[in-house]
Amino acid sequence: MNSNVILRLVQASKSLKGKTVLNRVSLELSRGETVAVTGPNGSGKTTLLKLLAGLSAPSSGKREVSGAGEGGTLVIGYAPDHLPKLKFTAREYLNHMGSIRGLDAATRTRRIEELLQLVDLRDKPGQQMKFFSKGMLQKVNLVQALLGDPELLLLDEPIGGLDEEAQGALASLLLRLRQKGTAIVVASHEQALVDQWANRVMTISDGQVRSVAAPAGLEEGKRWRRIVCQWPQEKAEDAKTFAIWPGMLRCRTERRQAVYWTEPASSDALLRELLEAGASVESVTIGSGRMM
Amino acid sequence: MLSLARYHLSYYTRSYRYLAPLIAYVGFLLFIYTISPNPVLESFAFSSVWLFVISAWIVWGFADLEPEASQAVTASHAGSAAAYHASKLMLMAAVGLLLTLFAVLYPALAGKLERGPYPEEWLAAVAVHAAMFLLGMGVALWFTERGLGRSAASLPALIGILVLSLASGKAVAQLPDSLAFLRWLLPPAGILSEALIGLERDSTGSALGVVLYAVAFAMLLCGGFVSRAAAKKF
Repeated sequence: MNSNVILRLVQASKSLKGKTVLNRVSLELSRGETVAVTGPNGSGKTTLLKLLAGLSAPSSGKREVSGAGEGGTLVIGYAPDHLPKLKFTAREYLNHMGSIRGLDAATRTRRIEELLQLVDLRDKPGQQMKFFSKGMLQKVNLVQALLGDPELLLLDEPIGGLDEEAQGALASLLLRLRQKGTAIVVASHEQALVDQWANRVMTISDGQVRSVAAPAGLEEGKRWRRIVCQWPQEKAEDAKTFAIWPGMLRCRTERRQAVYWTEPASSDALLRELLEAGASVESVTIGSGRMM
Repeated sequence: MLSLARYHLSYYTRSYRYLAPLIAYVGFLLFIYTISPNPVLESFAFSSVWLFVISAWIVWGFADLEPEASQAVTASHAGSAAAYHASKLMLMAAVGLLLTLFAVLYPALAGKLERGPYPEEWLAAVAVHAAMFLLGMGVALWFTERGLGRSAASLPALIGILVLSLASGKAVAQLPDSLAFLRWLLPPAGILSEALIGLERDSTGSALGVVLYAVAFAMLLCGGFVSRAAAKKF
């Protein structure tokens, strides 16, 4: 088991008012990796982020925290897709959030000023958030998520309303956090930006994981093994659980057939595990570069 | 928990949602006491019933005040949905204590009563007002988004339960024995106000028993709400 893993969703499903919003999603998050979650509106991205944040409980399946930091609990920063227009100034609101998180007054003030400077929030003195533009609210949203110096950062559509300059600042901030070891999950529509930021791209639609792949930019020159296999009808759902296999670069499942692209070092172990799980291997292909 | 309560208080005071129930509460009591002198226990019983209604109004207006997206953010900083909801109840209970003190101290200190209350009457008045606030809070919570959910029927249903609760003593007394169990299902607001009026006649012990029963009932309603809301999360 990878010791860098901090959080794991295992076959997690979520139903709301009788409707399945997420269906048997498995995901492992490791320190220092960025996972992008893409998919159309209503596909379950926000619900997935709330499950990861612990703000929503899975209807079935499990959420396991396995790599808590010093305090024994995993420090999570969560930014929803929008922050409402509140009757607080940005500093008042952030002070409250910092205080609720348990930061002392001096740390709060220092951290808030650092982060506000970083996102370049240009508010007027005493201006309440109810008079903020969408972009300004989004900056406050990002700052509140970063206040506690999170080990896991969950961002839902973080670039909504941000100008290009702020998007650039956010991209470099995410890179710095990743280098520091923060695990980041970003739900976004913007494929181009996701490709820049992420190690893995998870595509979901109708609450199901359709594919997990390395972003286009990372594929160039990388060596891989492609394993094509068939699953027995009654085990077709098990195919998706391998999407989080260590070294998995990409996976695609359709009915009983599953195609896995994995790093060469992991392919033997994956083959053994697939056969033991009841899959029938049809072909193994060696390749590099774009995963076909 | 205190930081959360401070945040809720800031949020609440800036919303001005407190204004209408507060004016109604204080204004009506001031108006009632323009005529004096008034009988001690009957006056306290009346103000406690009024506090029961006002507490439901306050809590119903406060519980869903923060938008859902920002609730999730606040709870993520708190690290617990239960702490988030419990802190709201803690703040409301503090508000209830202030309203209780006003209802008990104002008529007594402003000379609006026919005589000064005896020590056991002071205690009983404070305890009954506080229990009434908790009961009103416990009932109203269940008609909010995190309780049974808000719909067009929520407010009429809440008002119906408040009326039934106030009629609980008399209504249940007229029911046949086979339906006497209903006594235990209705919030005992009516029974509580009758216990205060009957303090001269009955033993202090029996009034204390009713207060403890009402507080336990309110705790059950509030605890059940927090546990449900925390499990439901965001």
